[in-house]
Order: sequence, then structure tokens, then C-alpha cells
Amino acid sequence: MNLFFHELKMYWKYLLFWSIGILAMVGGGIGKFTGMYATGGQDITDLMDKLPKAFLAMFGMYNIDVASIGGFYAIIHFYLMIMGAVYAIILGAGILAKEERDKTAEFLMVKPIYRASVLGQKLMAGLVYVLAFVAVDAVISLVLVKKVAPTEDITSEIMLFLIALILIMLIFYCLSFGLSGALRDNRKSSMIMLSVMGFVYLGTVFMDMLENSGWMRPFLPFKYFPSPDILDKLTLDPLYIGLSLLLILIGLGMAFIRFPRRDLHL
Amino acid sequence: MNIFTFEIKSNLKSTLIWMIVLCFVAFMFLQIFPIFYESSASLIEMLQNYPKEVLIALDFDPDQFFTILGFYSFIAVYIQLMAAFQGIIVGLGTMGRETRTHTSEFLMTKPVTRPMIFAMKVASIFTILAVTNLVLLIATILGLSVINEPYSMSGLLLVSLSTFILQLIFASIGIFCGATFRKLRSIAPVSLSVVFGFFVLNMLKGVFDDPWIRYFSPFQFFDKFKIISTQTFEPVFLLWSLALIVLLVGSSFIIFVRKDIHAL
Repeated sequence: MNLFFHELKMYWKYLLFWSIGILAMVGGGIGKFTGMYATGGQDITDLMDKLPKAFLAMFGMYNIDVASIGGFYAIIHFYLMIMGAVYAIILGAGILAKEERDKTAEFLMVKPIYRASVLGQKLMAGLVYVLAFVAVDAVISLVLVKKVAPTEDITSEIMLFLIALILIMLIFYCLSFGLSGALRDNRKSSMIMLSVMGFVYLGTVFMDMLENSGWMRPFLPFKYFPSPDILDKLTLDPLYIGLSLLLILIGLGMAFIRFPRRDLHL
Repeated sequence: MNIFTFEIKSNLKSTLIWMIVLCFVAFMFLQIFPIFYESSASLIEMLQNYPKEVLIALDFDPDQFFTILGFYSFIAVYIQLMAAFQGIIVGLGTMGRETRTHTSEFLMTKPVTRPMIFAMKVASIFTILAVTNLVLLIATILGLSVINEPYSMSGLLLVSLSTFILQLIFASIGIFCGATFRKLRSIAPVSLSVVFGFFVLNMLKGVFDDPWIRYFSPFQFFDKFKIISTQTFEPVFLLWSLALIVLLVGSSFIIFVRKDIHAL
């Protein structure tokens, strides 16, 4: 268990740094909302209805009632998903790749623990930090939303957004973890996953702009739990929950099957 | 010259990938314009009657926006984000290569003066970014010609130049970090934090609204709509960008030439 606690201690500054970012993002977003809320929600809604799809798609605002606090939070959540994905990728790819990158792999691997145990402990430590990110987000969001709109209660919507965030972050975390476990030269794993995430983001923007683009949805994790579904129907599509779990298992499989067998780059 | 060639070769594969990605994104986003334009005819009419404050809050100017070049300025934000990322990766990767791979001992014992090493590295960074921007400009012109709408070439050139200067600013930040950092384990976290940090600052400008914030956020140095309408850069920000680049590269030079090398 030593490794688990060691990794836990190594990343607290990382979480702190990102928590400031979450605060800035949610705080800034809510701040903007109070401004818009004051000038009159109905006008904004009319304007949003008339704006071309492409414009709204860029900001993830398509199909959302911006004037309500729920709709506005959906937009903030879109950016939080991207931040969360980046956080998860760097965490997942780094926690395993850093041994080979910093040349500490030899030290670690000659210790009397199974490689699978190394994987498991690192995985768990990273998991704690993924959940911590979401927890920070939860606290900040609930507090700020309560402050700004005390009359409306969107707690259940926020809960669903957070669950969606956990699933998406876990997808990226496990896939990055798996990639860094499986690749022979795993220093590139974070760059590869970041590019994948970049493409997923662009694909997300495109998907909103084009018609008949439903086929793209399985490829774009950011679209697995679209905001309108959460806001209007309060559901998370079970098919896509299943797909998320599948991707998570693929990532874990890559790590646990390949890592114990491959040669390490000492 | 060897160092220059070496750095170019080391960066070649990733530069090619970046070029392809940037051009692809620029080209694809431009193709969206016709779809965009059709669905906006009614909006233009409605916006004529709108109070200015709402439009400023949403950050777009209707007269500019629905021209092809105005649209390009809008999507240029995303292209510039990626370009900035490339800039800092190239800068930090090149200047920090020896620190990162623990090969400083090898390089510094060669019979080349440190100023020369620095100059070669900076030259390679500049060349890579210049070529990337040229290719991006060509791709943009191709994309625009496919759409077949009239546009002002000088406006496009100025906006592309602003992308180049933005890349240089981020590359200078990368150069400064590369020359200064004693331990450089991975370029991804530093590059990401810098770029996203400034980008978030840019997005929050609606919240803060202080005029001096503009000096801190490179993405705001060049207001593309103003560039297109007035056909010039704002002199203050052009000078500020150049000053930043000179300051960062200059101090990196001094640090690099005088610093102790930690061979491990």
C-alpha cells in the first residue's frame, strides 16, 4: 500500500492548481450569468433562438435555454468537461509513464511487489484524484448556484452533470492509463491522448453544426450525455453508460494485460 | 549550422503533423460558412433593432460578423489557440531539449559558443513557425477561394500575420522557460497550463472588463474585427507584442549564456 500513499502525496499540488482553475471557470461563468440574468432573460432566449446553429455549436450552446440557470450551467459544464478530460489525461498517462520518463522504473520494479500490484495502486491513487476533481467541482457549483439563484433548485440536474463528468473523466483516465501501460515508448502517451481529445472536441463542434450527424455520437465522449437530455428529461442514456464502461474496461485491459509482459525502457 | 539542421530534423515530424492539423481545421471550418450564412439572413434583420449592450455581452458585431472574413476572424480564435500551443511546444521543446534529455554535457563541450547555440536554436524555432504559418495562409486562401466570396486580401494577410506574432509570443515564453528551468521532465504540463491559462483569461474578459487586463492576455492583443475594418494593427499592442518577444528572448539569451549547467 506504500505506493498508493506515495502517489497520493505526489499529486496534491496538481489538484490544488486545477481547483483554482475550476473556481475561476465556474466563478467566472456564474458571474457572467448574474449579469445576463439581470438584464432580462426573455430577450436573450429570443436572440439565442435566432442565432445560426454553427455559432451556438462553437460554444456548446446549441439546444439549450440559456436564460435559465440550468441552461447556463450546462454551458459551464461543457467547458468543465474539457478541463476534466485534460486533467484526467495528464493524470492517467503521467502516473504510469513517469517511472520510465524519470528513470525510476528500475528502482520500482525490483521491489518485491507484482507489477499488477503496481498498476492497481497507481490506478487507485489516480482514481482518488479524479473523484476529488469532481468533488471540488460539486462543492463550488452547488455553493455558487445556490448563491446566485436561491429560488430555483437544480441540484438534481447538477448531480446528473457530475455523474456524466465522472464517467467521461474515467473514460479518458483509463484510456490514457492503458495507453501508457501498453506502449513501448510511453512518453508520447499523453500527447497522443491530448490530440485524441482535441479531435473529439472538434468533432463535437462539427456534430452540432451539421445535420444528420448522429453517427458521430459513439465516437465523441463529450456527446454521450448531452445537456438537453439531462436538463429536460433528467436521464443519462443507459446505452452510453454501457459504452463508457466498455471504454473504461478496454483501457484497464490494455494496462493490466500489456504492462506486466512488456519490456520496460530503463 | 549543424545545430540548426539537427533541431529542424528533430521537430520535423511533429511540425508536419501540426501543419496538417491546422490546415485541415482552417479549411473545414471555412466550409461551414455557406451553411452559416444561409441560416442567418433573418437574424441580421432582427439584430438591426437590438440594443448594443446585449451584443457586446455576447461579443460579436453583426456588420462584421456575416462577411466571410468576419467569420474567419471568429473561427481564427480556435486556430490561434492551436497555433499558440504549437508555438510554445516548439519553443520549450527546442530550447529545453538538452535539459530534458540530460544531454547538456554533450552539447556544451562542443567547440561552439553558447551565443551561437542559442542563435541556432532560435533560428530553427523561427523558421519552423514561419513555414507553418505560410502553409496555413495558403490553406486558408484555398479554403476561401472554394467558397468564392469576395474578401480583402490585405485583411486576411494581417490576420494571418497576427497569428504568426501570437505564435512568436508563445514561442518566446517557451524559449524563456526552456532556458530557465533546471528540471524539465515533460513539456505537456507547462505548455498546457500556459496556453489554457491565457485562453481562460481571454474568455473571462467579459467578467473583468478592465482595460489593462488586455495587456496580460496575448489572445486579446489583436482584435481581429478591428484589424479587418481599419486595415492596421493597433500600434500599442503591436509594440507591446514585439517588446514582450524581445524581452523574453533577450533575457533567455543572457540566462542561457551565463547559467550553470546541471549535467544530471
